[in-house]
Amino acid sequence: MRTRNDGYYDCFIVMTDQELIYEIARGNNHAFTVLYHQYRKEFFGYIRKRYKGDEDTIFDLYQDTCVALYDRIRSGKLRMLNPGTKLKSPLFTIGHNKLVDLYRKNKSKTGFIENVDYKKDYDSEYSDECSERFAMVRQAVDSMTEPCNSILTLYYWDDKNMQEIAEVQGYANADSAKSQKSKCMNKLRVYIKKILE
Amino acid sequence: MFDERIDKYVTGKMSEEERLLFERELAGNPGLQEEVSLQRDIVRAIRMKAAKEHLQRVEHGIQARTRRRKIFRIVINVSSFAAAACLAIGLFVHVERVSDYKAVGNRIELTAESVRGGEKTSTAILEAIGHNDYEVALELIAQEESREFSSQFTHPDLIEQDRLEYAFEQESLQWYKAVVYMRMGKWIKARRVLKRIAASDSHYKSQAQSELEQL
Repeated sequence: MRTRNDGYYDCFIVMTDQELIYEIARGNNHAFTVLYHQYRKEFFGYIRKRYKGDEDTIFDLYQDTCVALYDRIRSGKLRMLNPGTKLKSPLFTIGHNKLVDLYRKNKSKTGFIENVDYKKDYDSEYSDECSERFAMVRQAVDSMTEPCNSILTLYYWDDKNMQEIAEVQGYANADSAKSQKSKCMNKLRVYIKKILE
Repeated sequence: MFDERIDKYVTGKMSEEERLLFERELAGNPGLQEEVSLQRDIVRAIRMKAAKEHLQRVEHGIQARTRRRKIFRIVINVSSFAAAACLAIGLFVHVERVSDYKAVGNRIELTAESVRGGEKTSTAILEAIGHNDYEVALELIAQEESREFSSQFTHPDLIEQDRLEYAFEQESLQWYKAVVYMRMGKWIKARRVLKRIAASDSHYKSQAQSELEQL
């Protein structure tokens, strides 16, 4: 029985790239963890050849890269891999772009290796697609407080139904949980519309 | 008020029929299109935030396991080193002891004790030791040790005399055994026998004590 939420068991699973895409697209979060484990070591090796900064930045970079790839898969931008192409390819391209973005933002260039051309291999197809509007939506979502944060995460990320959410969050029944979710969603939409005006 | 249909549509929870109906409505309603687009962005942002938090937990788990593994490896390395050092020291001590016991054992001169009835065996044991047939010597000693006391006399004084001779013979056998073990380099066994002799009232007590002190 799975009792851990740190993806411990997922590090033992091996999936093909196409299986990973298929499973992530249908909302299988374990497949996403498998993806994280599968390329972690190789990605760290790739980044460490180009960036000698602190480890936390590298972890952060890899997590953001995986999240960006996850977003592409879930939003249907990446459904199939071309023959002979590996999932590693878009993953590392996104990662490289993120490293370039980090290089551009970092004025002191601390941790960056001098003789590396960071702008080389930058693929604008995989550039950070955060439009100003979406960046604001993300900001609003990030600022959500409890119980909205938990209830919306359980519904949209964990794919729990209202009965399950009621049990986990301690609501009287599924209707109470549904009512709370609607309240949270209304509040969030009103707030986003206000900041988008 | 938030239209639940928008959520169902964005999360793909509509039936085929519901979806077709909704899309027909959506096509001619720019306001609804805007609402759907906003809902899509919100759901996407919620998922991305949750995905990031999930990966932070995963990474935290990996780090914790790596730390535990590192500590375990250090403990294993230290233990292995300690075990290897103990083994090396033990081996060194063993070799030293073997050499010392052999040297002392070879220095001890054995003479046949003139004991009534046992002279033959005593001589055979000493001969075996003299020819370095230690296994044969040990076998003969064991045979003699297992021999129970018996006397052919009926007079109590003579029986007592016999008993004393038997006891002396047993003491001699113990001494031979200690010397054989020493010469063989079996220092643990030799030490055990020597200690037993040193702690008894044996005729060889002082000799055993002296050898133990030397060793």
